[in-house]
Amino acid sequence: MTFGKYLGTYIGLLLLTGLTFGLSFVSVGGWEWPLALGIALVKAGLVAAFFMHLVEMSAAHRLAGAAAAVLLAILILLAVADVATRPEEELGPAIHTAPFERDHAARTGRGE
Amino acid sequence: MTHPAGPSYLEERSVRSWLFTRDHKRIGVLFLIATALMMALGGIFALLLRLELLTPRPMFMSADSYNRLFTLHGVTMVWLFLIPSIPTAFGNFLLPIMIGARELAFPRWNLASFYLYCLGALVTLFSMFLGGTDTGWTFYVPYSSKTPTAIVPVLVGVFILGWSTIITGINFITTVHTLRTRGMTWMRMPLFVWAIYGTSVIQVLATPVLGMTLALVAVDHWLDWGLFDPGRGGDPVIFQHLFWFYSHPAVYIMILPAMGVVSELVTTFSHKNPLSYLAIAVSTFGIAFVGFLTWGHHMFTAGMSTFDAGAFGVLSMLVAIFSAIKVSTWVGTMYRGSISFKAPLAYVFAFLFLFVFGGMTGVAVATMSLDVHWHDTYFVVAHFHFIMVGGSLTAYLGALHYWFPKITGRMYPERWALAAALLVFGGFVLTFVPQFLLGNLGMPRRYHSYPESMQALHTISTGGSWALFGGLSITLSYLLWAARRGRLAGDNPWYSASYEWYVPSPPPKHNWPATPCFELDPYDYTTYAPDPRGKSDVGGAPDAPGGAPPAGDAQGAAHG
Amino acid sequence: MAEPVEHAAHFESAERQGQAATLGMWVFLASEVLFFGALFVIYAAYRTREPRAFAEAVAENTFWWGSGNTLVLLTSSLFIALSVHMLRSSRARAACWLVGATVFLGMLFLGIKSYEYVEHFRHGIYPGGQGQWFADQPRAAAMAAFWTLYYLMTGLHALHVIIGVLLLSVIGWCVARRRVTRLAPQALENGAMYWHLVDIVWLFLWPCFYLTNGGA
Repeated sequence: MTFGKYLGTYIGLLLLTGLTFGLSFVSVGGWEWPLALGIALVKAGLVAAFFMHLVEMSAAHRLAGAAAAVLLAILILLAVADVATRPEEELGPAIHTAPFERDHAARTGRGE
Repeated sequence: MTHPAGPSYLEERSVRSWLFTRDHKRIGVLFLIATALMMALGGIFALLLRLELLTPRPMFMSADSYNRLFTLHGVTMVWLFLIPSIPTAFGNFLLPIMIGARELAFPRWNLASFYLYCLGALVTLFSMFLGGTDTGWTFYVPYSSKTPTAIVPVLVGVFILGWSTIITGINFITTVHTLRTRGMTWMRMPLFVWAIYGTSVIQVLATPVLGMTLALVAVDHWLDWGLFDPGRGGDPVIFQHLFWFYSHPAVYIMILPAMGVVSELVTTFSHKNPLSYLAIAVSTFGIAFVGFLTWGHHMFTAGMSTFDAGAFGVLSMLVAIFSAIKVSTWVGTMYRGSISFKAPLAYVFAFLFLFVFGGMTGVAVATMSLDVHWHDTYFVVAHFHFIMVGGSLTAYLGALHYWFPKITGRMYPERWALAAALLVFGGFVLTFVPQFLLGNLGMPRRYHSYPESMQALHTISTGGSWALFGGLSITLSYLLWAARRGRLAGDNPWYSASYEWYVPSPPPKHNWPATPCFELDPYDYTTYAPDPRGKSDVGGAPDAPGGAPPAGDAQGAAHG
Repeated sequence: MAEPVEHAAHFESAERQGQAATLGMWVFLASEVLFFGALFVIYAAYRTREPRAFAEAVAENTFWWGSGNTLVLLTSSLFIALSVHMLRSSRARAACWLVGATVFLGMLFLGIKSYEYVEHFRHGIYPGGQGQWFADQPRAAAMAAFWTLYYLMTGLHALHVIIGVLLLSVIGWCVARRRVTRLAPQALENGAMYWHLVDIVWLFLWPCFYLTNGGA
């Protein structure tokens, strides 16, 4: 890693930051999340690869990072899939305390 | 007892030298004592529960106390005993020796991990004096956010214990990567090391999720932020996703080390190399990885979508494949081996039977269409006790006997051990087979009473728990006796070819006088360690008294 | 010829010990990814249930301050990476100054974050759906989930920034005192990796709470 590479990585990060920043002012329809997430991932990748020197390190280090990311992705995917594929639910929009909570609050002296 | 390589690790006797030790062997012994104490405590809780269940009427416990007690039993057994036990006791003691190292990568962090364990245990058990909590070891919201019981100390205690295991996991992983001796490739490590490594990977990646989840419940309980409260946009099922994302891999944290033990015992007591080293090594990682993909099978009736239920049902079938590979490989290893039937092998046979039995019931409950009937019944309770007690505890007992001479330098009394093993096995079967039947009759779990018609089965189960307790008590007694008064074992009483038997029993403080170079594979029974009874058809040079390996290897001669 | 460096007896060389320290740090960071990740799971699930409410809440957040903080953290990441580079090139003084600059930016981040929290409190937005602001919201339940997650996630992140600031201050002092050197750089390298993780987490927090406003 040379001084130049650090600076180059930083400039890349700034550019990508500017990109996401700009995109937040525009309506991109359904692409909002894939774009935001994708750019964040690329930025994280740049930090990990160059600032954290992953490019210079052995496979074991890269595997550690990759394993964590992959597992987290699986967890998020299946949890979101659950929520997304449930039948429509009737959830009230307002905050309300259920009877249990009112009793509990009364018993413990902690109010809302 | 001195040896050319230096004094035994047990030599220095002061309390200070134990409490401030950085010797992985001493820390292993400290963990062994601590986790054994916790097992005894959790066992006493279980005995009390089973005693209460002797009759359908309340005997000496209210329903509320019963709830608190089974919560305590679960928390103690899972986090204070099963998860740490084999890795922290035997992993700590043996891992460096098995890879030809003198110490773990981070000895001070190892000691820190032990004290964190103690702190976590103290905080968790302190909650007992505040009445404990009644949520079950699974802490489901919304109840856990609201319960008026002392849940926060339990959550904090388990959180601390989680960091203890993560630190141990980091230590083991780093050690295997950086401290293997010259010439030891991954495929020449003892299989127990593979098992510990796989376990450590799971620990490092799964436990943080648990830590966060329990911390959130504690925050919710203390500050009433309603993170999982549907009235405030939350979802209790998400808690379950997070909890089981850890807790399913957690059961593999409990069983993988046990499987590592079985790999060692099977090869030693068959005096034979494994049928396929590769199969066992690869299936270890198979279990570790696929185990992360199956958590939703605990949530079939929780309100999860049918899409996810289907996905998890299919994924859950995959993990059994790797367990089957291991079992077939172990059995194939014993075939045409030269069997020494000693207590450790008795435990292996018990393990094979109970693990396969319990594992098949696992595949059954992982099938959604069946689980909707079995969920939250005694069938599930019986299933996981078959694996955790019939599997993990049995292997733990096998490990205890097998490595007893290595750790203490003395031998336990064999006939007592076999008798106790029989009692443990019989007691276990009597305790838990009736519970499968109770589950099929519809007996719900976590209930302190039941219909009269179920009394007979409950009585048998309670009787079985006494037999199990008897067997374990006898085991503890003769082991304690043998630690001081057992006959001297010699360096390698089992004529094993695995690397930990190259060092004296008990090992010297720094394990190896110089960096060792292992010429032979850890399971090479053709070149070395022939059966002393002359029964096997494997060849080999006669070995020195006490079963010492060919001289020169442990002295660190400069061959690479 | 480098002067011999002390290393622990069970390692064959200081270099091997350094490799172990680095690998240990990476494995620890992997665990931290899952630790924070659990919160992102909740965010993802809750946002999937109430995408419009979440997007509206994002639009109401302190966008400019949050984005400024992104620049602050990215720059601090550059500085700490450069300080490691300086130490490796035997320029300990420069390394020291760069650590100091990183600490300064970290504290700036915390200052901005505190200001944001005060602003939220002023508007009556508190965690747990408490506060006057929620009384006027048509989808208050979903908003409560958003803001509770906001406080939890940015709060935990800020806690890690505080830890990082303290850690790097000590490490910077050690560099100045020549306790951490080119031949024994572990403390600075590991401290820098910790800081980079803190930065990476923010790179995901920023879109979650400030950017994805549904095109508002």
